[in-house]
Amino acid sequence: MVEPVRPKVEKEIQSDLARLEMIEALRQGNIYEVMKKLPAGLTTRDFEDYMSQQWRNFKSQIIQDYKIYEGEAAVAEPSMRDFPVHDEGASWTTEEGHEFLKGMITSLNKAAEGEGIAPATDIGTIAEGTLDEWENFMNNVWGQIFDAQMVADYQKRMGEIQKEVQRIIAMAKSGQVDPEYVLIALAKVNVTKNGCLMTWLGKKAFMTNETMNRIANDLRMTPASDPSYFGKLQDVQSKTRDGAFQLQLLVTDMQKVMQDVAGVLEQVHGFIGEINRTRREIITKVAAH
Amino acid sequence: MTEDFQEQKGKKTQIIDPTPARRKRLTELFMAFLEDKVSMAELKGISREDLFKLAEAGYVKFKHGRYEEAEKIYQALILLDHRNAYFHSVMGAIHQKLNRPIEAIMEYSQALRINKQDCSAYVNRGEIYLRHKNYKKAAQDFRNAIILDTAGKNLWSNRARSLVIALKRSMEADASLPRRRTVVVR
Repeated sequence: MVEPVRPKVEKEIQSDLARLEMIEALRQGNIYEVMKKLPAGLTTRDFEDYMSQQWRNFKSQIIQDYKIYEGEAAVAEPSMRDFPVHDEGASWTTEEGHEFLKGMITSLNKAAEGEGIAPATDIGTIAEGTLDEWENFMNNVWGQIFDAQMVADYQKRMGEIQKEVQRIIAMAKSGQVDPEYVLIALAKVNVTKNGCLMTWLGKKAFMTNETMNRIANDLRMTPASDPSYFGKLQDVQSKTRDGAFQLQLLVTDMQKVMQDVAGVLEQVHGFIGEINRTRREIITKVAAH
Repeated sequence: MTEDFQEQKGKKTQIIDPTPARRKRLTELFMAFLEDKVSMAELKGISREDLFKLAEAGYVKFKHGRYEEAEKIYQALILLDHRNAYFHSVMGAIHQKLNRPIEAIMEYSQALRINKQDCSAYVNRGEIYLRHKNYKKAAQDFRNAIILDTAGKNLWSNRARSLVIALKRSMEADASLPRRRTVVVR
Protein backbone atom coordinates (compact mmCIF):
# COMPACT_ATOMS: atom_id res chain seq x y z
CA MET A 1 0.00 0.00 0.00
CA VAL A 2 1.44 3.37 -1.01
CA GLU A 3 1.15 6.13 1.56
CA PRO A 4 -0.34 9.47 0.49
CA VAL A 5 2.26 11.97 -0.71
CA ARG A 6 3.01 14.88 1.60
CA PRO A 7 1.39 18.13 0.31
CA LYS A 8 4.71 19.95 0.24
CA VAL A 9 6.37 17.26 -1.82
CA GLU A 10 3.38 17.11 -4.15
CA LYS A 11 3.61 20.83 -4.88
CA GLU A 12 7.35 20.60 -5.54
CA ILE A 13 6.94 17.75 -7.95
CA GLN A 14 4.07 19.49 -9.73
CA SER A 15 6.11 22.64 -10.24
CA ASP A 16 9.03 20.49 -11.33
CA LEU A 17 6.94 18.59 -13.88
CA ALA A 18 5.63 21.85 -15.32
CA ARG A 19 9.13 22.75 -16.54
CA LEU A 20 9.54 22.54 -20.29
CA GLU A 21 12.50 20.17 -20.32
CA MET A 22 10.60 17.84 -17.97
CA ILE A 23 7.54 17.85 -20.22
CA GLU A 24 9.74 17.09 -23.20
CA ALA A 25 11.48 14.21 -21.36
CA LEU A 26 8.11 12.76 -20.33
CA ARG A 27 6.82 13.08 -23.86
CA GLN A 28 9.74 11.02 -25.11
CA GLY A 29 8.92 8.46 -22.47
CA ASN A 30 12.35 8.62 -20.81
CA ILE A 31 11.44 8.43 -17.17
CA TYR A 32 15.09 8.10 -16.11
CA GLU A 33 15.87 11.57 -17.51
CA VAL A 34 13.07 12.97 -15.38
CA MET A 35 14.41 11.18 -12.33
CA LYS A 36 17.89 12.60 -12.85
CA LYS A 37 16.60 16.17 -12.94
CA LEU A 38 14.66 15.98 -9.70
CA PRO A 39 15.43 18.91 -7.33
CA ALA A 40 17.38 18.31 -4.16
CA GLY A 41 15.33 16.85 -1.31
CA LEU A 42 13.08 14.85 -3.61
CA THR A 43 13.77 11.15 -3.94
CA THR A 44 12.82 8.67 -6.63
CA ARG A 45 10.45 7.12 -4.11
CA ASP A 46 8.63 10.46 -3.68
CA PHE A 47 8.27 10.71 -7.43
CA GLU A 48 6.96 7.15 -7.76
CA ASP A 49 4.49 7.69 -4.93
CA TYR A 50 3.32 10.88 -6.58
CA MET A 51 2.82 9.12 -9.90
CA SER A 52 0.96 6.21 -8.24
CA GLN A 53 -1.38 8.65 -6.58
CA GLN A 54 -1.95 10.50 -9.84
CA TRP A 55 -2.77 7.19 -11.50
CA ARG A 56 -5.25 6.30 -8.73
CA ASN A 57 -6.93 9.70 -9.07
CA PHE A 58 -7.09 9.26 -12.80
CA LYS A 59 -8.55 5.75 -12.51
CA SER A 60 -11.15 6.84 -9.99
CA GLN A 61 -12.44 9.44 -12.45
CA ILE A 62 -13.10 6.84 -15.11
CA ILE A 63 -16.54 5.34 -14.73
CA GLN A 64 -15.82 2.22 -16.80
CA ASP A 65 -12.19 1.26 -17.14
CA TYR A 66 -12.78 -2.03 -18.93
CA LYS A 67 -14.17 -2.91 -22.36
CA ILE A 68 -17.94 -2.99 -22.41
CA TYR A 69 -18.56 -3.59 -26.07
CA GLU A 70 -16.72 -4.85 -29.13
CA GLY A 71 -15.56 -2.89 -32.15
CA GLU A 72 -16.70 -3.03 -35.75
CA ALA A 73 -16.40 -6.40 -37.54
CA ALA A 74 -14.90 -8.04 -34.48
CA VAL A 75 -15.03 -11.76 -33.87
CA ALA A 76 -14.18 -13.83 -30.86
CA GLU A 77 -10.98 -15.82 -30.85
CA PRO A 78 -11.45 -19.47 -31.72
CA SER A 79 -12.29 -21.89 -28.98
CA MET A 80 -12.49 -25.67 -29.09
CA ARG A 81 -16.24 -25.35 -28.49
CA ASP A 82 -16.54 -23.96 -32.04
CA PHE A 83 -15.17 -27.19 -33.42
CA PRO A 84 -17.58 -30.10 -33.33
CA VAL A 85 -16.18 -33.54 -32.63
CA HIS A 86 -15.25 -35.33 -35.84
CA ASP A 87 -16.68 -38.63 -36.92
CA GLU A 88 -13.48 -40.64 -37.08
CA GLY A 89 -15.16 -43.54 -38.88
CA ALA A 90 -15.91 -41.23 -41.79
CA SER A 91 -12.33 -40.79 -42.90
CA TRP A 92 -11.24 -42.26 -46.18
CA THR A 93 -8.43 -44.73 -46.18
CA THR A 94 -5.40 -43.57 -48.13
CA GLU A 95 -6.25 -45.99 -50.90
CA GLU A 96 -9.83 -44.78 -51.17
CA GLY A 97 -8.88 -41.13 -51.09
CA HIS A 98 -6.20 -41.67 -53.71
CA GLU A 99 -8.58 -43.56 -55.96
CA PHE A 100 -11.22 -40.89 -55.59
CA LEU A 101 -8.69 -38.20 -56.44
CA LYS A 102 -7.55 -40.10 -59.52
CA GLY A 103 -11.15 -40.41 -60.64
CA MET A 104 -11.68 -36.68 -60.23
CA ILE A 105 -8.52 -35.84 -62.19
CA THR A 106 -9.53 -38.19 -64.98
CA SER A 107 -12.97 -36.61 -65.19
CA LEU A 108 -11.35 -33.19 -65.41
CA ASN A 109 -9.03 -34.42 -68.14
CA LYS A 110 -11.98 -35.79 -70.07
CA ALA A 111 -13.71 -32.46 -69.77
CA ALA A 112 -10.55 -30.68 -70.91
CA GLU A 113 -10.34 -32.97 -73.94
CA GLY A 114 -13.89 -32.00 -74.88
CA GLU A 115 -12.91 -28.34 -74.75
CA GLY A 116 -9.80 -28.85 -76.83
CA ILE A 117 -7.36 -28.47 -73.93
CA ALA A 118 -4.44 -30.88 -73.88
CA PRO A 119 -4.93 -33.21 -70.92
CA ALA A 120 -2.21 -34.42 -68.59
CA THR A 121 -1.73 -37.73 -70.41
CA ASP A 122 0.26 -39.54 -67.74
CA ILE A 123 -2.38 -39.10 -65.07
CA GLY A 124 -5.09 -39.72 -67.65
CA THR A 125 -3.58 -43.06 -68.63
CA ILE A 126 -3.03 -44.13 -65.05
CA ALA A 127 -6.58 -43.36 -64.09
CA GLU A 128 -8.36 -44.46 -67.29
CA GLY A 129 -9.71 -47.55 -65.59
CA THR A 130 -11.00 -45.55 -62.67
CA LEU A 131 -13.13 -43.31 -64.87
CA ASP A 132 -15.49 -46.07 -65.94
CA GLU A 133 -15.85 -47.15 -62.36
CA TRP A 134 -16.54 -43.58 -61.34
CA GLU A 135 -19.15 -43.09 -64.07
CA ASN A 136 -20.89 -46.33 -63.16
CA PHE A 137 -20.79 -45.31 -59.55
CA MET A 138 -22.32 -41.91 -60.36
CA ASN A 139 -25.00 -43.51 -62.56
CA ASN A 140 -25.94 -45.72 -59.66
CA VAL A 141 -26.01 -43.06 -57.01
CA TRP A 142 -27.50 -39.96 -58.64
CA GLY A 143 -31.02 -41.31 -58.29
CA GLN A 144 -30.43 -41.93 -54.61
CA ILE A 145 -28.88 -38.48 -54.20
CA PHE A 146 -31.92 -36.77 -55.70
CA ASP A 147 -34.27 -38.89 -53.60
CA ALA A 148 -32.38 -37.98 -50.44
CA GLN A 149 -32.33 -34.30 -51.42
CA MET A 150 -36.06 -34.37 -52.13
CA VAL A 151 -36.87 -36.01 -48.80
CA ALA A 152 -34.66 -33.55 -46.89
CA ASP A 153 -36.13 -30.57 -48.73
CA TYR A 154 -39.67 -31.86 -48.27
CA GLN A 155 -39.22 -32.44 -44.54
CA LYS A 156 -37.65 -29.04 -44.03
CA ARG A 157 -40.33 -27.14 -45.93
CA MET A 158 -43.23 -29.09 -44.49
CA GLY A 159 -41.90 -28.66 -40.97
CA GLU A 160 -41.83 -24.88 -41.42
CA ILE A 161 -45.15 -24.58 -43.15
CA GLN A 162 -47.03 -26.87 -40.78
CA LYS A 163 -46.09 -24.69 -37.84
CA GLU A 164 -47.47 -21.71 -39.72
CA VAL A 165 -50.67 -23.55 -40.59
CA GLN A 166 -51.21 -24.60 -36.97
CA ARG A 167 -50.82 -20.99 -35.94
CA ILE A 168 -53.33 -19.80 -38.55
CA ILE A 169 -55.84 -22.50 -37.56
CA ALA A 170 -55.49 -21.49 -33.91
CA MET A 171 -56.04 -17.84 -34.87
CA ALA A 172 -59.07 -18.76 -37.00
CA LYS A 173 -60.54 -20.78 -34.12
CA SER A 174 -60.15 -17.86 -31.74
CA GLY A 175 -61.75 -15.54 -34.31
CA GLN A 176 -58.68 -13.42 -34.98
CA VAL A 177 -58.61 -14.19 -38.70
CA ASP A 178 -61.23 -15.20 -41.26
CA PRO A 179 -61.61 -18.87 -42.25
CA GLU A 180 -60.43 -18.03 -45.77
CA TYR A 181 -56.92 -17.74 -44.39
CA VAL A 182 -57.03 -21.37 -43.29
CA LEU A 183 -58.04 -22.44 -46.78
CA ILE A 184 -55.25 -20.38 -48.31
CA ALA A 185 -52.74 -21.83 -45.83
CA LEU A 186 -53.84 -25.36 -46.64
CA ALA A 187 -53.54 -24.61 -50.34
CA LYS A 188 -50.02 -23.37 -49.66
CA VAL A 189 -49.18 -26.66 -47.94
CA ASN A 190 -50.36 -28.52 -51.01
CA VAL A 191 -48.45 -26.24 -53.39
CA THR A 192 -45.26 -26.58 -51.32
CA LYS A 193 -45.55 -30.36 -51.26
CA ASN A 194 -46.11 -30.48 -54.99
CA GLY A 195 -43.32 -27.94 -55.54
CA CYS A 196 -40.84 -30.31 -53.87
CA LEU A 197 -42.07 -33.16 -56.03
CA MET A 198 -41.86 -31.02 -59.13
CA THR A 199 -38.24 -30.04 -58.38
CA TRP A 200 -37.38 -33.67 -57.80
CA LEU A 201 -39.02 -34.77 -61.06
CA GLY A 202 -37.33 -31.93 -62.93
CA LYS A 203 -33.90 -32.98 -61.65
CA LYS A 204 -34.56 -36.58 -62.57
CA ALA A 205 -35.65 -35.58 -66.07
CA PHE A 206 -32.53 -33.45 -66.43
CA MET A 207 -30.24 -36.29 -65.35
CA THR A 208 -31.99 -38.78 -67.63
CA ASN A 209 -31.49 -36.38 -70.49
CA GLU A 210 -27.82 -35.92 -69.54
CA THR A 211 -27.29 -39.69 -69.45
CA MET A 212 -28.80 -40.03 -72.90
CA ASN A 213 -26.60 -37.24 -74.24
CA ARG A 214 -23.52 -38.93 -72.80
CA ILE A 215 -24.41 -42.23 -74.41
CA ALA A 216 -24.89 -40.51 -77.78
CA ASN A 217 -21.56 -38.67 -77.39
CA ASP A 218 -19.75 -41.92 -76.63
CA LEU A 219 -21.11 -43.41 -79.84
CA ARG A 220 -20.13 -40.36 -81.86
CA MET A 221 -16.53 -40.70 -80.67
CA THR A 222 -16.37 -44.31 -81.89
CA PRO A 223 -15.33 -44.49 -85.57
CA ALA A 224 -17.81 -46.29 -87.81
CA SER A 225 -15.02 -48.61 -88.99
CA ASP A 226 -14.59 -49.94 -85.44
CA PRO A 227 -15.66 -53.60 -85.22
CA SER A 228 -17.56 -52.88 -82.02
CA TYR A 229 -19.48 -50.03 -83.64
CA PHE A 230 -22.56 -52.04 -84.58
CA GLY A 231 -22.83 -53.56 -81.10
CA LYS A 232 -22.49 -50.12 -79.53
CA LEU A 233 -25.11 -48.72 -81.87
CA GLN A 234 -27.62 -51.34 -80.80
CA ASP A 235 -26.78 -50.69 -77.17
CA VAL A 236 -27.30 -46.94 -77.64
CA GLN A 237 -30.62 -47.51 -79.41
CA SER A 238 -31.85 -49.70 -76.59
CA LYS A 239 -30.68 -47.23 -73.90
CA THR A 240 -32.19 -44.30 -75.76
CA ARG A 241 -35.54 -46.09 -75.99
CA ASP A 242 -35.36 -46.80 -72.29
CA GLY A 243 -34.45 -43.16 -71.54
CA ALA A 244 -37.26 -41.84 -73.73
CA PHE A 245 -39.73 -44.06 -71.92
CA GLN A 246 -38.45 -42.87 -68.53
CA LEU A 247 -38.75 -39.27 -69.67
CA GLN A 248 -42.32 -39.90 -70.77
CA LEU A 249 -43.15 -41.30 -67.35
CA LEU A 250 -41.57 -38.31 -65.67
CA VAL A 251 -43.51 -35.89 -67.85
CA THR A 252 -46.74 -37.74 -66.98
CA ASP A 253 -45.88 -37.46 -63.28
CA MET A 254 -45.19 -33.75 -63.69
CA GLN A 255 -48.57 -33.29 -65.37
CA LYS A 256 -50.26 -35.10 -62.50
CA VAL A 257 -48.55 -32.88 -59.98
CA MET A 258 -49.58 -29.76 -61.88
CA GLN A 259 -53.15 -31.00 -62.18
CA ASP A 260 -53.22 -31.61 -58.47
CA VAL A 261 -52.06 -28.06 -57.78
CA ALA A 262 -54.57 -26.61 -60.24
CA GLY A 263 -57.37 -28.73 -58.77
CA VAL A 264 -56.61 -27.66 -55.22
CA LEU A 265 -56.41 -24.00 -56.16
CA GLU A 266 -59.70 -24.26 -58.03
CA GLN A 267 -61.32 -25.95 -55.04
CA VAL A 268 -60.02 -23.35 -52.60
CA HIS A 269 -61.24 -20.61 -54.89
CA GLY A 270 -64.68 -22.24 -54.96
CA PHE A 271 -64.78 -22.62 -51.18
CA ILE A 272 -63.82 -19.00 -50.59
CA GLY A 273 -66.51 -17.92 -53.07
CA GLU A 274 -69.01 -20.07 -51.23
CA ILE A 275 -68.07 -18.59 -47.86
CA ASN A 276 -68.43 -15.08 -49.23
CA ARG A 277 -71.76 -15.88 -50.85
CA THR A 278 -73.11 -17.29 -47.58
CA ARG A 279 -71.78 -14.30 -45.70
CA ARG A 280 -73.49 -11.88 -48.08
CA GLU A 281 -76.71 -13.86 -47.82
CA ILE A 282 -76.64 -13.67 -44.02
CA ILE A 283 -75.97 -9.93 -44.13
CA THR A 284 -78.80 -9.36 -46.63
CA LYS A 285 -81.24 -11.38 -44.57
CA VAL A 286 -80.24 -9.72 -41.31
CA ALA A 287 -80.55 -6.30 -42.97
CA ALA A 288 -84.00 -7.18 -44.34
CA HIS A 289 -85.29 -7.83 -40.83
CA MET B 1 2.78 -43.70 -56.40
CA THR B 2 0.50 -45.17 -53.78
CA GLU B 3 3.48 -46.14 -51.65
CA ASP B 4 4.79 -42.58 -51.77
CA PHE B 5 1.42 -41.44 -50.62
CA GLN B 6 1.52 -43.82 -47.68
CA GLU B 7 4.97 -42.73 -46.68
CA GLN B 8 3.98 -39.09 -46.87
CA LYS B 9 0.97 -39.52 -44.66
CA GLY B 10 2.51 -42.12 -42.41
CA LYS B 11 -0.89 -43.79 -42.35
CA LYS B 12 -1.54 -47.46 -42.75
CA THR B 13 -3.39 -48.29 -45.94
CA GLN B 14 -6.58 -50.16 -45.38
CA ILE B 15 -8.11 -51.71 -48.49
CA ILE B 16 -11.66 -52.73 -47.90
CA ASP B 17 -12.42 -55.58 -50.20
CA PRO B 18 -14.28 -57.30 -51.79
CA THR B 19 -15.59 -54.63 -54.13
CA PRO B 20 -19.29 -54.51 -53.08
CA ALA B 21 -18.37 -53.63 -49.49
CA ARG B 22 -15.93 -50.98 -50.64
CA ARG B 23 -18.44 -49.57 -53.06
CA LYS B 24 -21.09 -49.49 -50.33
CA ARG B 25 -18.75 -47.71 -47.93
CA LEU B 26 -17.69 -45.16 -50.56
CA THR B 27 -21.31 -44.56 -51.53
CA GLU B 28 -22.28 -44.02 -47.91
CA LEU B 29 -19.43 -41.59 -47.36
CA PHE B 30 -20.20 -39.74 -50.54
CA MET B 31 -23.88 -39.52 -49.62
CA ALA B 32 -23.01 -38.29 -46.15
CA PHE B 33 -20.81 -35.60 -47.73
CA LEU B 34 -23.62 -34.53 -50.06
CA GLU B 35 -26.08 -34.40 -47.19
CA ASP B 36 -23.70 -32.20 -45.17
CA LYS B 37 -23.19 -34.89 -42.56
CA VAL B 38 -19.43 -35.07 -42.96
CA SER B 39 -16.89 -32.48 -44.02
CA MET B 40 -13.89 -32.77 -46.28
CA ALA B 41 -11.69 -32.56 -43.18
CA GLU B 42 -13.42 -35.61 -41.75
CA LEU B 43 -13.07 -37.50 -45.01
CA LYS B 44 -9.40 -36.62 -45.20
CA GLY B 45 -8.89 -37.48 -41.54
CA ILE B 46 -7.80 -33.96 -40.50
CA SER B 47 -8.33 -33.62 -36.76
CA ARG B 48 -10.26 -30.80 -35.12
CA GLU B 49 -7.13 -29.90 -33.17
CA ASP B 50 -5.32 -29.20 -36.45
CA LEU B 51 -8.23 -27.12 -37.68
CA PHE B 52 -8.21 -25.22 -34.40
CA LYS B 53 -4.49 -24.44 -34.73
CA LEU B 54 -5.02 -23.13 -38.26
CA ALA B 55 -8.00 -21.08 -37.14
CA GLU B 56 -5.94 -19.60 -34.33
CA ALA B 57 -3.13 -18.65 -36.73
CA GLY B 58 -5.66 -17.03 -39.05
CA TYR B 59 -7.26 -15.19 -36.15
CA VAL B 60 -3.92 -13.70 -35.07
CA LYS B 61 -3.40 -12.41 -38.61
CA PHE B 62 -6.93 -11.00 -38.66
CA LYS B 63 -6.45 -9.33 -35.30
CA HIS B 64 -3.28 -7.61 -36.50
CA GLY B 65 -4.85 -6.29 -39.67
CA ARG B 66 -3.32 -8.79 -42.08
CA TYR B 67 -6.68 -9.47 -43.67
CA GLU B 68 -5.46 -10.89 -47.00
CA GLU B 69 -3.41 -13.56 -45.26
CA ALA B 70 -6.21 -14.35 -42.83
CA GLU B 71 -8.59 -14.61 -45.78
CA LYS B 72 -6.44 -17.27 -47.44
CA ILE B 73 -6.30 -19.33 -44.26
CA TYR B 74 -10.04 -19.12 -43.68
CA GLN B 75 -10.81 -19.90 -47.32
CA ALA B 76 -8.88 -23.13 -46.91
CA LEU B 77 -10.61 -23.84 -43.62
CA ILE B 78 -14.04 -23.34 -45.17
CA LEU B 79 -13.10 -25.76 -47.93
CA LEU B 80 -12.06 -28.28 -45.33
CA ASP B 81 -15.04 -27.82 -43.06
CA HIS B 82 -17.88 -25.87 -44.61
CA ARG B 83 -20.17 -26.79 -41.72
CA ASN B 84 -18.27 -24.76 -39.15
CA ALA B 85 -20.16 -21.57 -38.30
CA TYR B 86 -17.09 -19.93 -36.76
CA PHE B 87 -15.16 -20.05 -40.05
CA HIS B 88 -18.00 -18.35 -41.88
CA SER B 89 -18.31 -15.76 -39.16
CA VAL B 90 -14.61 -14.84 -39.35
CA MET B 91 -14.75 -14.86 -43.14
CA GLY B 92 -17.64 -12.41 -42.93
CA ALA B 93 -15.59 -10.15 -40.66
CA ILE B 94 -12.67 -10.30 -43.12
CA HIS B 95 -14.95 -9.30 -46.00
CA GLN B 96 -16.38 -6.53 -43.87
CA LYS B 97 -12.92 -5.20 -43.07
CA LEU B 98 -12.03 -5.35 -46.76
CA ASN B 99 -15.14 -3.34 -47.68
CA ARG B 100 -17.02 -6.16 -49.35
CA PRO B 101 -20.45 -5.87 -47.72
CA ILE B 102 -22.32 -8.32 -49.98
CA GLU B 103 -19.84 -11.14 -49.41
CA ALA B 104 -19.77 -10.33 -45.71
CA ILE B 105 -23.56 -10.58 -45.44
CA MET B 106 -23.52 -13.89 -47.28
CA GLU B 107 -20.91 -15.32 -44.92
CA TYR B 108 -22.67 -14.06 -41.81
CA SER B 109 -25.95 -15.47 -43.07
CA GLN B 110 -24.30 -18.82 -43.67
CA ALA B 111 -22.82 -18.75 -40.17
CA LEU B 112 -26.25 -18.01 -38.74
CA ARG B 113 -27.87 -20.78 -40.75
CA ILE B 114 -25.47 -23.20 -39.08
CA ASN B 115 -25.44 -21.63 -35.63
CA LYS B 116 -28.33 -19.41 -34.60
CA GLN B 117 -26.55 -18.46 -31.37
CA ASP B 118 -23.68 -16.66 -33.11
CA CYS B 119 -24.01 -13.23 -31.54
CA SER B 120 -21.09 -11.59 -33.38
CA ALA B 121 -22.53 -12.59 -36.76
CA TYR B 122 -25.87 -10.95 -35.90
CA VAL B 123 -24.23 -7.73 -34.73
CA ASN B 124 -21.77 -7.45 -37.60
CA ARG B 125 -24.42 -8.20 -40.21
CA GLY B 126 -26.76 -5.74 -38.55
CA GLU B 127 -24.08 -3.10 -38.65
CA ILE B 128 -23.65 -3.55 -42.40
CA TYR B 129 -27.40 -3.22 -42.85
CA LEU B 130 -27.35 -0.12 -40.69
CA ARG B 131 -24.56 1.47 -42.70
CA HIS B 132 -26.54 0.81 -45.87
CA LYS B 133 -29.71 2.21 -44.31
CA ASN B 134 -31.63 -1.04 -44.29
CA TYR B 135 -32.99 -0.20 -40.86
CA LYS B 136 -35.56 -2.96 -40.62
CA LYS B 137 -33.09 -5.79 -41.12
CA ALA B 138 -30.51 -4.05 -38.93
CA ALA B 139 -33.05 -3.76 -36.12
CA GLN B 140 -33.96 -7.44 -36.45
CA ASP B 141 -30.32 -8.49 -36.19
CA PHE B 142 -29.64 -6.23 -33.21
CA ARG B 143 -32.74 -7.56 -31.51
CA ASN B 144 -31.59 -11.15 -32.01
CA ALA B 145 -28.15 -10.30 -30.65
CA ILE B 146 -29.58 -8.55 -27.58
CA ILE B 147 -31.96 -11.42 -26.84
CA LEU B 148 -28.99 -13.81 -26.80
CA ASP B 149 -27.56 -12.02 -23.77
CA THR B 150 -30.05 -10.41 -21.45
CA ALA B 151 -27.47 -10.13 -18.65
CA GLY B 152 -25.44 -7.51 -20.56
CA LYS B 153 -22.17 -9.41 -20.24
CA ASN B 154 -21.57 -10.26 -23.87
CA LEU B 155 -19.47 -7.61 -25.63
CA TRP B 156 -21.26 -8.14 -28.96
CA SER B 157 -24.71 -7.87 -27.43
CA ASN B 158 -23.59 -4.65 -25.79
CA ARG B 159 -22.40 -3.38 -29.14
CA ALA B 160 -25.83 -4.21 -30.53
CA ARG B 161 -27.36 -2.14 -27.71
CA SER B 162 -25.18 0.84 -28.58
CA LEU B 163 -25.91 0.39 -32.29
CA VAL B 164 -29.64 0.51 -31.60
CA ILE B 165 -29.07 4.07 -30.38
CA ALA B 166 -27.06 4.79 -33.55
CA LEU B 167 -29.90 3.31 -35.60
CA LYS B 168 -32.47 5.57 -33.92
CA ARG B 169 -30.30 8.63 -34.49
CA SER B 170 -29.70 7.67 -38.07
CA MET B 171 -33.42 7.24 -38.67
CA GLU B 172 -34.16 10.59 -37.06
CA ALA B 173 -31.47 12.24 -39.17
CA ASP B 174 -32.94 10.66 -42.31
CA ALA B 175 -36.42 11.78 -41.37
CA SER B 176 -35.25 15.37 -40.98
CA LEU B 177 -33.55 15.35 -44.41
CA PRO B 178 -35.48 15.86 -47.67
CA ARG B 179 -36.37 12.56 -49.34
CA ARG B 180 -33.75 11.14 -51.66
CA ARG B 181 -33.02 7.77 -53.21
CA THR B 182 -30.72 5.48 -51.26
CA VAL B 183 -28.93 2.28 -52.19
CA VAL B 184 -30.01 -0.52 -49.89
CA VAL B 185 -28.11 -3.77 -49.43
CA ARG B 186 -30.58 -6.62 -49.11
